[in-house]
Amino acid sequence: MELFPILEVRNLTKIYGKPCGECISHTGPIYETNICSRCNSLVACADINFELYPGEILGIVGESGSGKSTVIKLLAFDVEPLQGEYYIKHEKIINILGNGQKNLFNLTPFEKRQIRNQVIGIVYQYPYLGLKMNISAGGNIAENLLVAGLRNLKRIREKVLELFEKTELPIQRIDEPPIKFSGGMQQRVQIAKALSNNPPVLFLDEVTTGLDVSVKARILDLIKNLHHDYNFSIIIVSHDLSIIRVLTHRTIVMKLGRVVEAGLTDQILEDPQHPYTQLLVNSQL
Amino acid sequence: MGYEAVKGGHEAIENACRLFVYERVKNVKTPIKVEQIKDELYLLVDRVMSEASLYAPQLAALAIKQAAGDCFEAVFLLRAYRTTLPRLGYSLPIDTRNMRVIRRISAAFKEIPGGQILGPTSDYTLRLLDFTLFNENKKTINKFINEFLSELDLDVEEFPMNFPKIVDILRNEGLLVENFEGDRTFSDITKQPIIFPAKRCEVLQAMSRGETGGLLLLAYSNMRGYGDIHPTIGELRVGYVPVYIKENLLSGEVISIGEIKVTEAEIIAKFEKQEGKPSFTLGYGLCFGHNEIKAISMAVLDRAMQSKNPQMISENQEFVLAHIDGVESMGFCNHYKLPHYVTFQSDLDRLRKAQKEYKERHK
Amino acid sequence: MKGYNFGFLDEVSKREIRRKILKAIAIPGYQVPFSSKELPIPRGWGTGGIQITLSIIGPDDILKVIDQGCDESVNAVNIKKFIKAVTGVELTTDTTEATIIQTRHRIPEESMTEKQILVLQVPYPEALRVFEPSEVETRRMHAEADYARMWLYLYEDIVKFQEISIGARYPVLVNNRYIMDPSPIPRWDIPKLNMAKTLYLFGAGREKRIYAVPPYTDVKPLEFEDFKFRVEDFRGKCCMICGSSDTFLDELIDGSSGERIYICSDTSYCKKRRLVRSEL
Repeated sequence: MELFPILEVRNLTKIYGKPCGECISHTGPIYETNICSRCNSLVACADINFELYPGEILGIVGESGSGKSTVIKLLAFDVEPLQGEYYIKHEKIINILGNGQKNLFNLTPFEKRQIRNQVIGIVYQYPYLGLKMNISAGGNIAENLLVAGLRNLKRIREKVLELFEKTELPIQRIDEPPIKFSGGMQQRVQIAKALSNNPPVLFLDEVTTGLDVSVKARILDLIKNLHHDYNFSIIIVSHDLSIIRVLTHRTIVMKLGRVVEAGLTDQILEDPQHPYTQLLVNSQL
Repeated sequence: MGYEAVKGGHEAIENACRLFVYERVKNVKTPIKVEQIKDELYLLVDRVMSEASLYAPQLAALAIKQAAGDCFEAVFLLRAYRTTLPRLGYSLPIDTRNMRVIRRISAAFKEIPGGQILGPTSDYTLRLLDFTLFNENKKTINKFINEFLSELDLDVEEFPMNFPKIVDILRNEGLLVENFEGDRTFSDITKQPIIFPAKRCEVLQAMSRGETGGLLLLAYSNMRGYGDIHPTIGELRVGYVPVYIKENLLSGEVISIGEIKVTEAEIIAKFEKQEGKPSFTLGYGLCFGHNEIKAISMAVLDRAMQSKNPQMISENQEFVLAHIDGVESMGFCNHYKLPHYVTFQSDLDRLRKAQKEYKERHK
Repeated sequence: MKGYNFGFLDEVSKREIRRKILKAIAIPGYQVPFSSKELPIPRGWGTGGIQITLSIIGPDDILKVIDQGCDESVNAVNIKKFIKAVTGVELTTDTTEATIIQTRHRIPEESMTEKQILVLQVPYPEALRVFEPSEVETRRMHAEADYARMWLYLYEDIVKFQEISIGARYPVLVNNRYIMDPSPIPRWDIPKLNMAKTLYLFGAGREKRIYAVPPYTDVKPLEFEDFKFRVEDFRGKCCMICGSSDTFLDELIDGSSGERIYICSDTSYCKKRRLVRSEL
């Protein structure tokens, strides 16, 4: 049986600044810089290609400045790429866009928002990026349900309570704003929000960075359990190889905006081929 | 008991209007002449002309008299008159290099080509009430003028006709770079509403007719620390500039239609890493009449709004431009005096319902 | 008035406003920016409504101006005085007689016809302003029909108060597309916007926006399936002048007894009812 990817990315490139046309050929690991020497533009990522399979957890690893978070921002439509193609195959996409393959980067803002709402869940490193800190936690989650067109308050409340339970949040604090919550709880609210419309694809961007070790362990457990229950596909971005090891099936290694190595996670961690990956593995594990 | 809704509104309003005139004149022995306001309160006249965006000293003085000295009202009167005037054409851009300067200072350099010219200013006066002004009369005025002029050692021949611009010197040395992005075409904000982000010409127009106090407040917030541009006054000049129009659109013949007094401020701000080499940046302000606080505030805000990453309100173009028009803000502030009893009734209904819900929940 | 054009504004300005009105009618509920002239009446006192009225009025029109439902209110009197002076049109207090009615904060109780136009004065044209101060952002939200935050605002309100706390200015969805601020009319008047026979024009002078609800347009207040929009509750109360129990009432405190008394907000309709009653 042939396995089709649920998500495909082709030739994804993002440059900050006014590109001169030579930026891509003058940057990257070989040049040891992501800044174009001709025009000073920052090549955040270039020529990125990968696919994500149903139920798979894919890791993107690299140190800060490698472009891994940019990739997630692009896929979540938070920023616009210079070029690239982006496809997701799922019945929910057909519901929104009809049949036929469409490059998601070319959609209208309205369509993109629907996809963000229905097809993609995202959890950011910084809770304030994903949450409105002064609106109740329940309201933050309800927002996604409201975007989806749900107009029955009782059903919205029921669904929010269900998500609170799933993410092990204390139900009595449903009407408090996340600004009053601990870091770990804020991440749980983000996760609950990301799950609200049962998205087939989930993006996790450094979700445990900055959390205590015990809190981090419990969040990782939660993600594992949720993945087991929902069986969605996940892209997880992290600089932390221990998370990559615990959670992911396959891994992409990025440096200075380029993919330097990709493969099965076990293989990459046990037998890294690229010198940069070897350095990462040696320094962390 | 029978209740009658408030009536006779018409008569009460008429009387309120007449009472406003009565208050102004009831104790008057010698009425102030409009001419006197124009001459003696010239800084107020300048401010009113600038905020009304109509250069008409006589009418501004009249407005000040009619408004009993209320600056907001006077501006409003002149603005409302302005709206009835047809726009006959547009003058050519004014070149302030050709200004007949009466005051010109730079805080950036101790010595500047052409020299610092202090001109008429209250900057260095001791702010002591001058009780002799209680008895000022034609005689004391003449005495002062004669003494002052005879003591001056004037050499009119040597006084230059125009002065080089300090910012031009910086520009020529490559220390000051202006690269304004966006639309540079001209539009008239009295004919087309501003759509944000506004063009720079719209920003400057809106500020030039802005309310002095409002501009100062916002600029001061930036100067004090809610902002980070650290201005230096490159040059502040006050004086008269000729206004030219194309008299004949076909032949292109240009004629002068007179001169106006303006204040111009050019502030140099902390350097920023532009694309390429680092350089100073410029903020610009220009307004009708002699109003240095307005011109400087305007220049500071002009620079603040060019911020690449706006954080503070003074850097937020929409915030600044939406809140500096005195006629708009005073009108809206005053409108709260109008009856609001329908909306209040509606709010009452909501509050009572919410209180009832609260009681039921906390039984 | 001597020395001024008919309708005070010059013809070019009037034409601009009429063009913007046509655009507003073509896109129901969409806020059309216009240049908005200064008038001898202050910003915030109905200059948007006045500019609309002055642009569409002709010598044969019959004008009614109300404020809070009342023909005699200070603002209504002032505006009437000005428009009468610059146009010379006939004035009326009878809703059914008027061809143009300019109003602040109320829609008349008597139903209006296809031949009439209601001009509403608007202080805040942007319904989304309650939670988003930036114009750039609210315009984007309208363009993309991104109204989640408006709904979230209602959700939070209910969570806090078990009640939607919005009194007047209740947000509506026009033609299933734009969320619109109906101006500070009470909720009582909101149903009158839906499938109305009359053209409603909204003018915000200070904020420089014109918008419209054309005749027979779908206008729905925002509500949840299980949390419905409700008008003000006057059950058990009636107007102490005309006895009406099906009109929007003003609540007053009786000077001598301190008791609450109620009278019709729409004064000309109240008068009409009283006449009918005394004739019976």
